[in-house]
Formats: sequence, C-alpha cells, structure tokens
Amino acid sequence: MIGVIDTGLSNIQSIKESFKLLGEEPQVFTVPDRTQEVVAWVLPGVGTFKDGMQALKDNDWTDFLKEEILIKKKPLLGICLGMQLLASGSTEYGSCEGLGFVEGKVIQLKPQSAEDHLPHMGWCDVQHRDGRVSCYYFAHSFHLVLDDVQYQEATFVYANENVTAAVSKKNIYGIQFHPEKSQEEGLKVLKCFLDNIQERKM
Amino acid sequence: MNRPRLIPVLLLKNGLLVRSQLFKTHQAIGNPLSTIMRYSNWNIDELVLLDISEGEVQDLRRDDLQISYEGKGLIDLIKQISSVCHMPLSVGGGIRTLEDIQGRLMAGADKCVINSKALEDPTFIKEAAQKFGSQCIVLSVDVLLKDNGDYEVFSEGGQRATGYDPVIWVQLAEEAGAGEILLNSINRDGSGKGYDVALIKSVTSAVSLPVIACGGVGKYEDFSPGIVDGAASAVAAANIFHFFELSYPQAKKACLNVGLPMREVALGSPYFSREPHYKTVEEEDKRRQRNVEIKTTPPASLRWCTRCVYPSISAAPMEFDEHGVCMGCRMSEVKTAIPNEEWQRREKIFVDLMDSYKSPNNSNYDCVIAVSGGKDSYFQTHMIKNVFGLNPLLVTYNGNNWTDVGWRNMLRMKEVFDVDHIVVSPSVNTLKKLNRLAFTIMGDMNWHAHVGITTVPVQLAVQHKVPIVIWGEHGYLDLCGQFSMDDFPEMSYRDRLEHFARGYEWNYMVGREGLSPAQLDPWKYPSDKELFDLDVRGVYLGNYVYWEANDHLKLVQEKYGFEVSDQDFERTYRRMSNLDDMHENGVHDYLKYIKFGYGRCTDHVCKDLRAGLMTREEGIRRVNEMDPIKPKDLKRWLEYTGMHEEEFDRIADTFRDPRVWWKEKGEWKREILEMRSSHV
Repeated sequence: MIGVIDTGLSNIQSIKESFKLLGEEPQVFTVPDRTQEVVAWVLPGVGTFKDGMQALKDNDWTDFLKEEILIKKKPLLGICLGMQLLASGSTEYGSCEGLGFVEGKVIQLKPQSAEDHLPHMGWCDVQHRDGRVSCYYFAHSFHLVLDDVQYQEATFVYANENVTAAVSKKNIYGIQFHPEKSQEEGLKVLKCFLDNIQERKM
Repeated sequence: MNRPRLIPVLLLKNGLLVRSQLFKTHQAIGNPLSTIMRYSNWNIDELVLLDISEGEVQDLRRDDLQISYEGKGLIDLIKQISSVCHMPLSVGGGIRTLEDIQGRLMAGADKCVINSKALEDPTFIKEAAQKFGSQCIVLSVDVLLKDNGDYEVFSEGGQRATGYDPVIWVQLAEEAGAGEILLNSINRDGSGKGYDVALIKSVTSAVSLPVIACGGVGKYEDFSPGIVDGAASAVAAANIFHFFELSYPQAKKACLNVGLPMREVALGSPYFSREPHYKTVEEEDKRRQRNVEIKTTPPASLRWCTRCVYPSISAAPMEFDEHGVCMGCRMSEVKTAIPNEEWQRREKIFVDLMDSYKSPNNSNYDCVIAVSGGKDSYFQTHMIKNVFGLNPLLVTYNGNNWTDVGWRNMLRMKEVFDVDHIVVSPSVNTLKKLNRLAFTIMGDMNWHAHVGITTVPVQLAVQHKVPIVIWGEHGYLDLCGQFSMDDFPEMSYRDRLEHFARGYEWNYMVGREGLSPAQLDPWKYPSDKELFDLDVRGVYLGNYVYWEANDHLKLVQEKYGFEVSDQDFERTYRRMSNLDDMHENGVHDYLKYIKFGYGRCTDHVCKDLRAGLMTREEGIRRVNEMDPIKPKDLKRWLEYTGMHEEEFDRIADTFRDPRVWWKEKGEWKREILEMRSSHV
C-alpha cells in the first residue's frame, strides 16, 4: 500500500483520486503509523516551506521518514512543496532547514522580463533527461537549486534559466509540477512511480 | 516554455450549472459533474468554478437522472468533482474566512477565488497568502466601465461600487500576496461582444501576476486578443462552452490556428471515456432504495411561475428571476420583441453558415434533417428545400409507436418534398426490451426514442460525410429559456446524454434482458474524433427563423397536405403534436405527471400563454383537468411489453418526487395551482 502524508496544508483529495484512477488505493496518514505495511510514500504539499517543515516536525514525521527512506530505502515521491522539503534548506521567509534528502537550496524565482510571471503558474514545457518534452501544470514561486545536477531528472525554462522540474536520487523522487493536476501527462508520471515500486518489489 | 491557458468558468447556483448574463439573469444548463467529466476527457488546461448560490441548498431538482450527487453543500460537491477532475481547479464564491479556504482546499480545490471579502478587508489577502501560499489565492476583480469612460471595481457580484480603480486595486493585491488575477468585465458578461482588451492591457501592465481574462467571448475567435493584445496569461469564458458541440477542442483549435502556443487539442483521455462507466451493483442498490421513504406532510418547495403555469420542480432545467417569472417567459418576451429586420439578419447568418459547409459541385447532400414526420419536420424541410433551395437528406428514427396519421405524414415527405429519406428501424424485440428496461430504470419507457431520435441522424450524417444536421427548435430554449437568443446553441453530446438520455448511455443497457452491444447500434453516438474531424454541427433552425407552431401548422397543412390527429389526445388539447409516438403524449407523459405533478398540457399551456392565445385562468383550468389523466394508450403499452397494470403502477410510484408528492391516508397528494394564486 502507498502512504500519502497529510500535513493539513495540501490538496490530498486530488492525489488520492489520481492514484485511484490508476487502480491504487492509497492510505492517508496524518501521523506515522508503524503498524501499517507501507511500501512507498508520497509527500504532497502547498504553502510555505516553513509551515511545511513545521507540520512535519509537529507530527513526528522527520525521524520516521529518515528511517523509512534513508535506511529502509522505500520510494518517496515529493510533489511541489513536497519536493522542496526534500532539500537541505530554504530561504523562503527567512532561512529554514529541510529534510536534507537531496543536497540543494530552495530559493525564489527571479523574473527578468514582463513575460516572467510570479508566481510561476500554468502549463509549462518540461525537458526530461532523455530529451522527451512534456507539458505539466506548475504553481509555485520558489524552486530547488541542486548542489549536484546529476540528480536533475527534468528541467523547464524560467527567465532564460534551466530550473529543476524533477529530481531523482536512488529511491527519492521529487517533482515541482502537479502530476495530479496535469491531466493525461501527469497521470503518466504517477503511473511511472507506481511501475517503479512494482519493479523494486520484483 | 509557458503555454497560455484556455479556461472554462462554470457558474454554480444551488448545485446546478447556470449560464449568466450581465451578472443578473441565470439560466439552468444542467449537472456540473457531467460537464466536468467531459472536460477531463478533453484534457483541458484548467477549470474555474464560481458558486453564486443563494443559501446552502444544492438541488438538481430531479431524481430520475443517472448522474446525481449526494451531500448537502458546496464542499460535498467539490469532493465529488475532484474525483473526475485531474486539472487545476479554482473555486470561488462566498469565501469569507480562512476556514472557508481550508475547507475548499481539503475537498479538492487547488486555488481559491476571493472577491468581496478582499475588498472589504484587504488584509484578508495577506493572511490567506501567508497561510496557504500565494499560488492558491486568486483575486477575482469585477470591473464596470462607467458612462464617463472610467473603470471601477465592483463587489458582491457586481452589485456594489467600491471606488477602486482596477489598476490601483490589483497593485495593492499583488503587494498583499495574491497569486493570480481573474479579471472580469461586467459590461461584457454574457454579451458575446469580445473581451475589453483595453481593460486587460491596463491590468497586465500594472502587475507581474498572471492574469486570467474573462467576460465577453461570443465566438472562438474572441479568445486570442486577450493574450495577443491584452497580454493575459490565460483566457477564460463561461457561456460559450455551453453552446456548441466539442466547444473546448474547437476553441483550442481556433487559438492554435492563429499561432497561440497553447497545449494541443486532445480528444479522449485513455483514463476517461466519454461514455460513463456504470457500477452494476451500486446501480441496483440505488434502484432498490428509490423512494423507500415517503413524505406524509406537504413539502414546502413547490412554486409556479407568476406568469405562465410552469412549476419550480420539473423535468426541465428551469430558473426563475427575482420577480418569480420563469426564464421561459422571459426569453419568450425577448423572442417576441425581435423585429423583422433581425429575423432577416438571422436568416442571412444561416444562409452563410450553410454556404460555408457546401460540398463542391453539389457532390453531396447539403445537410441532414432529423425528421419525425411532424409539423416541425414539414416546416424545416419546407424552409431548407423550398425556401433556401438546399438539398437535404431526411433521416427518421422509427421507434414503432406511430399513430396512423403520424405514419402517413412521415411517409408522405419524400413525395411532397422530392427528397431522399432514410428511415432507421431497430428490431421490434429490442425496442420492447428497451421500453421495459427504461421504464423500470428511469421511469420513462421512451428513452429509446429520445436517444434514438438524437443519435440516428448524427450517425447518418457521419456515414454520409454531411457535417450539418438540422434540428427544429431548441426545446429548452423555447420551453424554459435555457439559452438566450444570441447564443445560437447547437446540439451536443452533453445535451443528448444529460437531457435526452438522462445520463443513461447505451452501454448501461448492455447485458440487461440479454441485450448485446451490437443490438444497441442505433443508440451509439459517433465518437468525438469523428465529430471533430468532420466538424459536425447540429443546428437548430429555430434560432434563425421565426418559429410559431400554430402558424407553421396552417402552412404545412395547406401546402403539403399535413394531417392533424383526427381525434383528441387525452392529456393535451393540442392535436398537432407528437403524432410520431402515441406514448409521447400518453403514458410517457403520464409518467412525467407521476414524477413531477405536471404534464404536457402544462407545456402546451405555457407556450400558448406566452403566445397570447389563452388567459392564465383558462390555462390553469386546463392544466388541472388534463395533467392528472391516466391515458388509454397504457393498455397498448402493457400488451406491447407484457406488463400488468398493477406492476406498472407500483414501479411508477417509486419515481414520485418527494419535493412534489406526499401521502395522506393512503392517497397521493400534491399541491395544486389555484386560480386565486395567479397574478394576471
């Protein structure tokens, strides 16, 4: 079973419905529960970095996740703020430490021209590592700058710069866009995550 | 690369999807869920849902539809929407507290649209943005262009002036942390005149926030100026998406054609089928639980139009205005006031439309006309063939319920009009099965006819590669003012599934009474791809030429030998309608009475009242006399399908709407429209 972490700030309903459509019935957890057999975790999130981290700490998620992801090597998918929380830290509204699963910093996007809107909102082309281009839905003002670009799985262009759209480091995945809101293309991404879990099991 | 978005805005009023004009007039379109499912099927960019309900009640107003939803308030509805909505969803309307925002986000919204509350208390934007992030706070800005040429922001659904200049207001909002602007022009709302580009440009120049332009789109070409000239990040509209077949893909195509780098047109997501999936077990449960609780006291919900005799609980999507007058009466006033020159202009639009679809060298039919052989069919064919000089192919669905007169009328058409005529006749055994099934499932034996009539002509059009299908009058525009005269609404799959099929697609019937998919061929609508590739359009002639049934009757009787019924119907005083199906005016209509407490006599009286052919007193007298009559054709239907009357009555009773009917001492009761309650 897949566990979805509910920090009280995110749109859990849509994530659940998307997995359901793909034939998976995820379970939502507001606090860690060691009695349940969870094979992979999803960390969604909207809101500010600070509130997101605080919510994880308040509900005892940080140590639990370290054990599950870094030691037990269970797959983890961070979505939007959930991806940013994987980083070492952020400068959003003052500096704040992150989960530190992926080395990098979360900083604000910097518009260069009138065409660069902030927040970065809407459908944007994403270039995958293998050269494929797909279009996904974004809604964010901050982005993740990786220390090591070898973990950069996909990028998009904002203000003439390549920005992290997705990271992948062993069993840890993160996506800046919203797969649950990116129609067919987004559902394909979630399907891919499910397929990865299946492969791991085998 | 960022791609400009194309966004439908859905207006919800007490659970129903409505169309809006000048922020004032609301016309009921239908069920939001079926429309949103269709949007998911087309992979649309984004959706904005604005709730303009009065009070908390959510009511689809009829219980016999397949797609209904449970729950009481908006939050329950958002939850159900989120199960079929895999696109960004913004929800607005009535948001006054941070808890309101949280509730909507938890239920499945991605962004919340705030308006009046922010104007009252601008710190609300700041608090909301800090708690939920700027990206989920959309500020809706309704702007009026005043007579002196100044723009002013209005609150409370366009009711209250605020003194704010829109540019100043959006800059304040950006500062406070709003993440996006939904900019609406009050003057252009529902006008079809195109965007107020100057307004859009002034706002996009003033802020770095993405701006969604809204208000005024009347044709697909109206979208692109919002982006090209107004520099909006997204273009939105409400009404236009309700009017035409494949409206969203067609609008996308128009934007892509002028070079806007939008996402591609997509038809048919592999994750969603256009035809609904039905869960057999749940469907059976639903049927068993139908009306197990019967009211013993009068419900408080029923009222009537103060002008005609239309009830508020009905089979039709009806809305009433603040004077208690129904939209049917309102649209009829508009229609009656249309001057001759306007009808001439409309005829010209029609002629141009037909011209633009004409095949080279008359190599094909000019259009398909869906005909039942009734007075409207005669009038349509008269206009198309003998007035406009076109070459139509007539197509008829044969539901095997003809009156003798109706059958003669139908067969006569190919002779008196000198046209080709295809009659599609499904197996009688299949028809009997569908009669029985539909009666028990949805309390309407004529599902086969309603779906067959709206499907077979479109099938034939696709087979013969004829893009135009001509229909008569838009039934709900005429009866209940569902659309406005300038909407020129066309037939669509949504209309067919939601209104004609009541949400029951052909695949619902598969396996029941042993029916195979092949046996249901006459009820299968062409695919979206076929419709899109051929650019099929279902055009209502009534939108382009003056329509008055009583006048038409005279014309077709004199000119083409059309016959009216030689005997009276029992449930209506009109002798010219529904000759193609004896049950349509009979037992089918009796079931409408069983469900909602009124019948065809009410429909006809409303039309004749609006045409000034009858007094309201006379109308009320006729309605109260004829609506309750149990008709004699029931005997034929029972023999035809092998059912007993007791069984018929028992099943029929399970469809009585609790908002209309209650039981006292074993007797069914309903509120009756009294003469004294009339305001003539």
